Amino acid sequence: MGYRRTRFIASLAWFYGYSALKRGPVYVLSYMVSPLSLLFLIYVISKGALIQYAVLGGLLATIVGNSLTSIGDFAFLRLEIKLQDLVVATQVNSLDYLLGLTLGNLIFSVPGVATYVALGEVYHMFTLLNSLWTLFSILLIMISSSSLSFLIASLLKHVRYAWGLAGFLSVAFTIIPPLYYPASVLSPSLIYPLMLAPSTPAALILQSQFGLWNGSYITPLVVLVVETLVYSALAIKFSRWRES
Amino acid sequence: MIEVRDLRKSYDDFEALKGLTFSSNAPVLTIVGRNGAGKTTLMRVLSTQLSPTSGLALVNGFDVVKEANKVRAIVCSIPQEAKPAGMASPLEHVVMYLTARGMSFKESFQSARASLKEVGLWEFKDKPCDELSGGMKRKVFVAMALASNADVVFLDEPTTGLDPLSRMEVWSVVKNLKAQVVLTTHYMEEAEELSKEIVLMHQGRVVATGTSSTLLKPLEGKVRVEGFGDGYRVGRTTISYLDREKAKQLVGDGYVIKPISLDDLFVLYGLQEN
Repeated sequence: MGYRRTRFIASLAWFYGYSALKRGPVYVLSYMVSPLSLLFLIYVISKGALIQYAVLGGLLATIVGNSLTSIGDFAFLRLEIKLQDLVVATQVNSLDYLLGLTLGNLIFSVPGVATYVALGEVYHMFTLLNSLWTLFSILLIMISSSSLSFLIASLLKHVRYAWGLAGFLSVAFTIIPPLYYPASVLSPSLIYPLMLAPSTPAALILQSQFGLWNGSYITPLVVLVVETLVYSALAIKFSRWRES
Repeated sequence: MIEVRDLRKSYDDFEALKGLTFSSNAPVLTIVGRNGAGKTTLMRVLSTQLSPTSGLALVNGFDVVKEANKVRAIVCSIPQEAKPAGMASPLEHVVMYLTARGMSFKESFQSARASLKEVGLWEFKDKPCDELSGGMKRKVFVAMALASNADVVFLDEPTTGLDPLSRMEVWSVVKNLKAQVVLTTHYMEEAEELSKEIVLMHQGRVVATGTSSTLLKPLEGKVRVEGFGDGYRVGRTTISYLDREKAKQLVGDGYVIKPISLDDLFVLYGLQEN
């Protein structure tokens, strides 16, 4: 990737992610309130026994939730404020645009991630190895979920559909898959369809690495890598960039 | 240099451009027409945002379909409904756009600062855009065009919604751009103020091209009389174009008599087909 492209990606991430972080702290509270409320609920109901699931689940839900709610942002940037049109008429391609917005989302998610890392430290959850697995999983679900968001947003004809869809998918991808609860309670017949959501293999990898699930991380790892590649490729191939 | 030959753009059941042909190397080319005339579609095709269905469109000799990347390297296109993102500042907008155009960070910041000063946004450069007035928001995009260093700048209705003073400020920037400027507008005085060459579009077709004086040639020596005769219908008003001498005889009879302006092009070339 050339320096010119990297520069645009960094610049778009600064424009989209850092400006929102700096000037919209209420949105940070908004995306953190749901996972933190669930953490509180799980803590109270399980009397602390399932707190580790809640911490890992909240960490993943923050990333997946922000990536999927960006369907609304992507559609807004394209249909309402015409940012995408502005950029299409330059030498930037759709991959650079997607990477810039994804990186921006990652920057915007930093306070949420930091909160869960701090909670993980409080409960002595992190080792060097599982920290690396956590970082790896976060990056892959961010790329795969953002790719899905970009693809969906690019196909929408009206912004009015975007926010509802974003809210629906965000809940469906963070509450139904085993993010906040042990994967062991699910039968294989349920796990496999849930694997279509990138949050499921990511949760299985982390639960396995943190000793919260006895299953092997290999299959979820392969699924997550393949999903990331497939969803990214679909986004690049089928998303609407130059309109026809 | 803009060159268009038999350019067509169709959607499922609608033909937005119906075989346009014209060329221009005027420093400022203005495309005027009513809503739905196809102006924005043409701008989007020329700036590679939209693929044409058929025909040829060249920007400085580069084909917008076969050489889209070469076109993109030399154009700056500000869409009609472009709005700044509320949480980002004018400086962040311009710098992001300039890096998209391939400038280094240093160049981007330098050019962004200079252009924001020129359009009068320097004091507001770090304010979130949702705290700016409508005119200032529009100027963020004018600053982008100014800093872009592009050879051809497309401005789609750059002054719609601006107060008269802000419009004049935008006009002064447009006049000082070193690039060829292609702009669309509904305001005929804007076309007259900025450009020597005008393309008049109606229902996806070019109905006339030329300078303001050549386009108004059919009305030479005439005045506009409203409410008289069986002329053109505009809403409830009938508009007729009469020789000055004949119109003088109507003075005092309650008719509205006005000198010819570029607005009359809309009547002559546009509305008569309705």
